[in-house]
Amino acid sequence: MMDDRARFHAVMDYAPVDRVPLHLAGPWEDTVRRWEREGLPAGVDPHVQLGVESRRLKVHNFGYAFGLWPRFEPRVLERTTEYTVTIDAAGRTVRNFNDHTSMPEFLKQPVSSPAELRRILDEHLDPARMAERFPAELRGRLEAATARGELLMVNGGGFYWTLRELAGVDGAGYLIYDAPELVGELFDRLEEQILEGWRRIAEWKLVPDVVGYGEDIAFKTGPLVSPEWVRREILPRYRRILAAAHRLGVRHTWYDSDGDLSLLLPDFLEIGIDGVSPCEVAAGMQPNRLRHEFGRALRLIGGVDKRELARGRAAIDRELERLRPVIEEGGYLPAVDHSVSSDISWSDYQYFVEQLQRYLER
Amino acid sequence: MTDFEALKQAVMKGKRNDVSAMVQAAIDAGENVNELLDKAMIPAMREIGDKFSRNEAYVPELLIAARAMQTGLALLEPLLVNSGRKPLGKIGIGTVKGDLHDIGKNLVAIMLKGAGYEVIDLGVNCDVEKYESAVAQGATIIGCSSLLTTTMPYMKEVVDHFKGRGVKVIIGGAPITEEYAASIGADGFSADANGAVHLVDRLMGVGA
Repeated sequence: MMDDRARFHAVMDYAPVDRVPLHLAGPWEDTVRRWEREGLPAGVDPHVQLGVESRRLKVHNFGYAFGLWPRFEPRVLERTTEYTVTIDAAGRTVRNFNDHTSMPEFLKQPVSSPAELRRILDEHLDPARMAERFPAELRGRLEAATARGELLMVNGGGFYWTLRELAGVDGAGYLIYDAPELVGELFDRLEEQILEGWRRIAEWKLVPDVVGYGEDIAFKTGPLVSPEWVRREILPRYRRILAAAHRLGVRHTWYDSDGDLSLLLPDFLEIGIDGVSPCEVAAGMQPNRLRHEFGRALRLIGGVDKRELARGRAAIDRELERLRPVIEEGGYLPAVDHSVSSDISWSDYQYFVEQLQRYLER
Repeated sequence: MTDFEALKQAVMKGKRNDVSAMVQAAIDAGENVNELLDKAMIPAMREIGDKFSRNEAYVPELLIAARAMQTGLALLEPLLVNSGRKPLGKIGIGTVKGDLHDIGKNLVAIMLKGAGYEVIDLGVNCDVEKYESAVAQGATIIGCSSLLTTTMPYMKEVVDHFKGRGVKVIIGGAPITEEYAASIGADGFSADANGAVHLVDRLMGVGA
């Protein structure tokens, strides 16, 4: 009997498998509220209610304090019946509306100038505080997750993500030109954190399953930044980190970015980034197209068009049937191509999960 | 006499200090300031926009070009007002009600401004009243953006609200398609920020 770790590797290696792991994206909070109005018992996890929680692929992230450390102390600046304005742990001033939950409105980023990035580097990215990022209980948590058969994911990069989290997409764009040396210093410090994570994994003699990336480096029409800049500023860091992962025998990656990554994929594949998620169909990352264009070297995670789920059962049937060839070929974990949105009814979501499981059985 | 090609290149490369120096020199020399815009700065923004559409320029390049353009414009604006120059048109733009994503909307606003339009940026979470406020200020085109599938339907409310009033509504955003735009009766759709400029040109009859 295979467990999900074995199934994940078998799927990614195009090897025989009893069933493809069931990878289910989470719903937004307003989706859950809708579903509760439509019959989901209040306070019950939707996947528990559907009886699939135990079959869900569980991914355990090696959760050390990556990025800013210490984080900012969250505090409320204003609270009204409509919204709350806070400074969050990333130092951003955000307005959270009570009636929609997908993301807050970003009012102010912690970095809007090179001088502010300098201050963040000094106060929140001090290399001398590296040890604090790795609390003692991390090792036990990893071992427990591994014992439970969860997929162990270890960070491979979040470089552009950290820059845009600090400065916003606009601010990141300016800093790339106005302060390339500071951006480089930021990336150096992030890389050192990531490599330290891999050193500890090696020291603890743990065997991760997958290298994870959280970058969100693309949008609807392509990368947010030029492939040339990515080649120059980020890929060398990915290479060094992947070398550490490869020394531990880790062969697959889970590169998370919304948007159209197509222009970056040839470079990614060349250095060993072989799996991308969530394959946002609205941005052209349709799995059949990607498989045709990039072949079996590229593994895919996601790629079920959430817009089709909102159109009802016949559309769900068509969407899954369209994906059947890639599911059957392997190298693919089908899942909704981002969080499940509130235009999808509880009834249709139940139907989707039932049907998806049929497609995953071998 | 200003080297228009050099000024254009300086804008495209985001060299704001060079742009500032060239524009100030032109002003000091009493040159026709409209020519700086029409022969160098606006063509620069249109060209960087076309490069953006072809994935030859990306968000940072667009931003620094727009910033350089704005640096020059800040110097030119008092003189442009005196010259009686009018914008190509006035557009109100905002992310629709319930949606707080603004990257795409901001890029469209930047590109439209760079192309010579006056843009009323309404921000995010815009209801019809907010769009109406732009029309009250003279906007004849309303641009609606959304990233979430759940907020797309609000675009139809905006389209319906302005139907028959001589205000055109154009839409865009991650989940939006040409077919969706047609299905709700929008006056146009663009897949990217530069395409929005060409769409507005067409609706305004600019360059026709």
